[in-house]
Amino acid sequence: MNKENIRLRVNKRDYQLEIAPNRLLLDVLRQDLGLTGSKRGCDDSSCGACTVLVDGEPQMACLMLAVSYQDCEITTIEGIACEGQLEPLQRAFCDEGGAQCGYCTPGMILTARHLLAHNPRPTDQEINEALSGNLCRCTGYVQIIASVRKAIELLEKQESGVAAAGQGG
Amino acid sequence: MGETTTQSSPIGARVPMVDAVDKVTGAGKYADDLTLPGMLVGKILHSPHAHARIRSMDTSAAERLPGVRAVVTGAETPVKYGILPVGHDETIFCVDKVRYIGDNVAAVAAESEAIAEHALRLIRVDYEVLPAYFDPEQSMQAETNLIHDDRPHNIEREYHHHFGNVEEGFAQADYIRQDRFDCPEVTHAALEPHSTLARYDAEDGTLTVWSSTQVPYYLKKTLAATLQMPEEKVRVIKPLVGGGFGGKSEVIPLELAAAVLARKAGAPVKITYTREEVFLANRGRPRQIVELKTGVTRQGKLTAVEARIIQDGGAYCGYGVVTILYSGQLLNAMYDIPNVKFDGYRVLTNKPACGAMRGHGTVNTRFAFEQQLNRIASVLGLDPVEIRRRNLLHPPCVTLNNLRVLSYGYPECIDRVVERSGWKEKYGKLPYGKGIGFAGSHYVSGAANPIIRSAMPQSTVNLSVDRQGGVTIFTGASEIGQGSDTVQVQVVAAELGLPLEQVRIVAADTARTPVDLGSYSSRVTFMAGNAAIAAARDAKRRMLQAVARAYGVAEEDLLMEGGRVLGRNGCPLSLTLAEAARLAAGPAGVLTARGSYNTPEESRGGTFKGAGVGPSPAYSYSAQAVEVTVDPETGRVTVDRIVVAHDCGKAINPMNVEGQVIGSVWMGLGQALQEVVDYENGRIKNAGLLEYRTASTLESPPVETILVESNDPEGPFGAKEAGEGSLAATIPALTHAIYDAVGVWIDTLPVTPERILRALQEKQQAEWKSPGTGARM
Amino acid sequence: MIPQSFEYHVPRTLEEASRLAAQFGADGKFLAGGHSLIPMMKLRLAAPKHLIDLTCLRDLAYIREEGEHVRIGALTTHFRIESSALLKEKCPLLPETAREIGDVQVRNRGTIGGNLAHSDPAADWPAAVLALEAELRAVSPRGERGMAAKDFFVDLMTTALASDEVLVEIKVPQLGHGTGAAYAKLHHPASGYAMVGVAAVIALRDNGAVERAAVGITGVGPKAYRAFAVETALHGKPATQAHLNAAAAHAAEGVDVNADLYASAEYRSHLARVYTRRALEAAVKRARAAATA
Repeated sequence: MNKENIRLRVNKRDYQLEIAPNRLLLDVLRQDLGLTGSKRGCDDSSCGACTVLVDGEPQMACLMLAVSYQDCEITTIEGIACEGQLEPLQRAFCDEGGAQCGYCTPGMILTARHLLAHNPRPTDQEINEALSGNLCRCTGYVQIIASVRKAIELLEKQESGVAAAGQGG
Repeated sequence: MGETTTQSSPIGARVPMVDAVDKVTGAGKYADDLTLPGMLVGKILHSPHAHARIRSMDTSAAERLPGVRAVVTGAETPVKYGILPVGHDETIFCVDKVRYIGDNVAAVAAESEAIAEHALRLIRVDYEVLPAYFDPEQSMQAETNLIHDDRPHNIEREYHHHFGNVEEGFAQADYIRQDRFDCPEVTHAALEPHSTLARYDAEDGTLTVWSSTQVPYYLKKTLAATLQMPEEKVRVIKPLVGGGFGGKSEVIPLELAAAVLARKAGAPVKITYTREEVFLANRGRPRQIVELKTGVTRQGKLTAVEARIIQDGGAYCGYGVVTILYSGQLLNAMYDIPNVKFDGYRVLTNKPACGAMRGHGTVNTRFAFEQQLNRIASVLGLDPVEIRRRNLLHPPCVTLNNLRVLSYGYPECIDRVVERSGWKEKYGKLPYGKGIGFAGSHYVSGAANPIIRSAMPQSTVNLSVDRQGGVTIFTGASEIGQGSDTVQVQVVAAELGLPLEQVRIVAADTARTPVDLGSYSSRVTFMAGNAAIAAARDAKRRMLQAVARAYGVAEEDLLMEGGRVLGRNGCPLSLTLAEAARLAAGPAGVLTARGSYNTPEESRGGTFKGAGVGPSPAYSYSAQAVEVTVDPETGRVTVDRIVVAHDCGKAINPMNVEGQVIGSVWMGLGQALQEVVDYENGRIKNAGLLEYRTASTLESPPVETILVESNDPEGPFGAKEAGEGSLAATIPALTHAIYDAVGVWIDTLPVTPERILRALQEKQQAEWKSPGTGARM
Repeated sequence: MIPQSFEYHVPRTLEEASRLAAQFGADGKFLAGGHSLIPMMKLRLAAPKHLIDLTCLRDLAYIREEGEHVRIGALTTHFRIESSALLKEKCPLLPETAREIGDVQVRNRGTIGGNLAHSDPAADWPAAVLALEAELRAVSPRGERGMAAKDFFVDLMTTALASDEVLVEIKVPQLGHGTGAAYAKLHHPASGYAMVGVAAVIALRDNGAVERAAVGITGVGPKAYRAFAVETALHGKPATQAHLNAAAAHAAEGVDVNADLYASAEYRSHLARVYTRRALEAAVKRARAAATA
């Protein structure tokens, strides 16, 4: 099969790759770029463990041909911690037991991140609806929901901190 | 114990797991995330037939395919293995015949996945198809074409236990009830598919295997046996594991296949199962048919219980002998039952082998028992909670079948659930279509007797204190997401009076860590926890002794707290841990300490055949109330709320204990409502998460947890099991709630809307035929 | 991994896409959101030699009002339909249906055209386009044509599209005065697809009688279908509970009903009747509200 020269932009970094068109984005991320934080949990696109953000929207990397995503901004779990600092969702998943085995966690955090970007104060039902494409087999979701709630709290604190700092300046 | 615990003690603290940051950043590595230079991809050829003799096999075309580096078949791997010494009936690849659709026939290692898959299709196997057995009750009648020649009637093992005298017990009963329960197979569905990376070094003959396993120690032993290598040449390393639930608690074929391929190819080989292969590897909870007979007095006191249990074990033994024994032995240790009879049959069929799954062996029996107890209560007009209170154990005690029970928080679990759930205001009083149900369950805190009988400790922990006062725990215990590493760090930090950050852990690498038998039967907190405490105490004693010697003070006048060795009783001494460690290290230059745990003799049970399974140093207890809404027009069930109380002895990390309890309840709910491995002539029809699919957020109710701390006298800081005991009760509590909502009992799982609707229609027809009978009976 | 190799094509125009399709015939496949095709390729259930990626045809992602119709480009994602203010006002059945599809990830990537062209017997969109009596428009080198929704779904995973035709647009008539629509769905507990999904559109006369009823049902048979027997039973009748009940009883009439682990054919027929009644009830309620608005 002919290989194609493609450009991928992942976590704000540009990559030039020569790959066959049948390569899935998930496999390219994991095998070619070493970004193993995106996981493969199923083969029928039902588990959401491979969720990445495409232009900010959660999508399943196991359903995407890498060649189709040359004009997009792709964000994986490795791309969200800012300068080594955990972001509020990551902190909250640690502190509230949102990660047990951790296998669903990257996808779960990315999906939750999209939710909070568009709906900073979701109801429990809205959180449930937003996360329904990410399966977890450990937690029964209770501590995952608690983690998202905690992240909202942290984000609000962060904002009010920023606002206070702004006023002070 | 606990003399050093202060208000800031890590015991009882809701601290994050020690590996949490690796999990939330994606930095943590699971087996499939690992690569080695020159690594090949391994793929396994699976049998398309449920039962067939292998007449011949031709792998030459596959071997010739460019990019193929090794092909292996059963002829090269004839050594039999199995997780139980009494059940060595598997080989890495089938030698003479295949026994289920998916059985392992051959494997290839190639330079790419596509080449490996192509090569598999080039392997020609000539099969002579044999008659196959799919239903356990039919399989038990088999005379010919046996699945294993040395298992007449396809019965892997049968047990007949009789404690007390059930005939007398039933004679004393005022009411006897008999029911048949049918619980189909369910599976772990851990989110991480199994994966193994193997490297063989021909130069020194060593094998290193990174694998998604709950049992590195058993894997090491099995690798050595099946590859016919000295055990000391085999090293097993467990990276992060993406969930186990029992599905990785015995040696799984890909682990051996990867190793054999790596040795033959002379290059590292990784095999990662497809999701379908995970289903084929199975080892899930077997279908279980329970015929249960229970006698009670008018007051609801149990007089006798008789159970006939058939388990559909699939094609190999696996943990089967243990599973069938648990299903009978743990009828006990929950309630005071004066007479118990158990006839258990583990039956072979031509389907993927079953094994251990969360709540191993106990879940379906517990469902049957609790459901029958609720049915009895409703017939006798007794409150379902009250009937349980009338049959409690009175610990410390030893049950009829020699199970020793020391701590027993079940009565408190019941009380707390009754209070929190509003049981008295709700049961029998909610409007039609709404209901609440109640049930209890229990589980072992590790098996008192190891799988391979041995006088050696079940768990050993080494500990080193470096010259800067940093503590490193070396443990064989296997973190699989349940918090194994964290609990050991917490108990060591507590014992040494150190902040958690000062304690590191190195775990589950057979070349670097001492033996622990693995993460199964909820043994880690109890056993590795106790071993870690012992190791910490050993280190502490050495440091205090050294300080006492160096400063000429009495050892009793020293204590460790806040990262320092402090004098007391007027002794003004204050040293850093580093100073104490250097003193204790002496000329050796490093302070090492060790501790181990073995179960007390008194906890190991009786001497009758099968007595070894069931005994545990301690049992956890759980009580639950489940509330539902049933749509009587469609039979659809919505679970509105679950209240669970779990007696974990002592919650070393309440956040993690709650996580385990909720996860158990939720998994029980899945089994109750929708999960089933669906077979048609031995072929799994739903071998993927889309069709097996476990509940998403949308079907998952709020679960309120209450932790009951009965402080087990032998548990680490009083702790017991937390990760399995709450699973079983959810199922009968749910079916009870459905009864309370719409008046029908469902004895067959899962409780699909269709089953409920059919039961409602049958009930309606019965009521038309005999008008005047009440709706609730 | 996708085991088979294929040639990959990215047409820049619709004309190019249909020309490629005509050129490759049965060897070619269109790729839209990929949610139906990619899983089938991974499982070797589909092995096109040529994959024609429509991702670049961004012109095919639109929602616009034109006269009495709303036109939706075939590559419009479920999410855009779900969140479209225009549709919420002019054709709320579509956002209501979109909300019921899969999960966030699926709705972000999956497209209405890809979904319809795949014609999964348990997909949601077919029920809605049937009940709305939408027109499905396709382009080929031979030109453009429209198909009525009721003629589009031919059989299990089979549509009236020719192999060189690209589905380009779904043209939906706006609901008139006194018209209400609703979608009632029971999610399959495993897959989230419709165990049964019923879309109903009801137009009421001023006297409360049913002027027009259109009912699309998915998940029940080998393909989504119009429940004409239900519609006929309602026509001209007052929209009373008794009439709705009686009409809904015809929901699975003459259908070769699916059976699976979660629902036998008998139970699924029962569900079809119950959910048809529920959809009719909700549609009537909305029609009445629309009439008084």
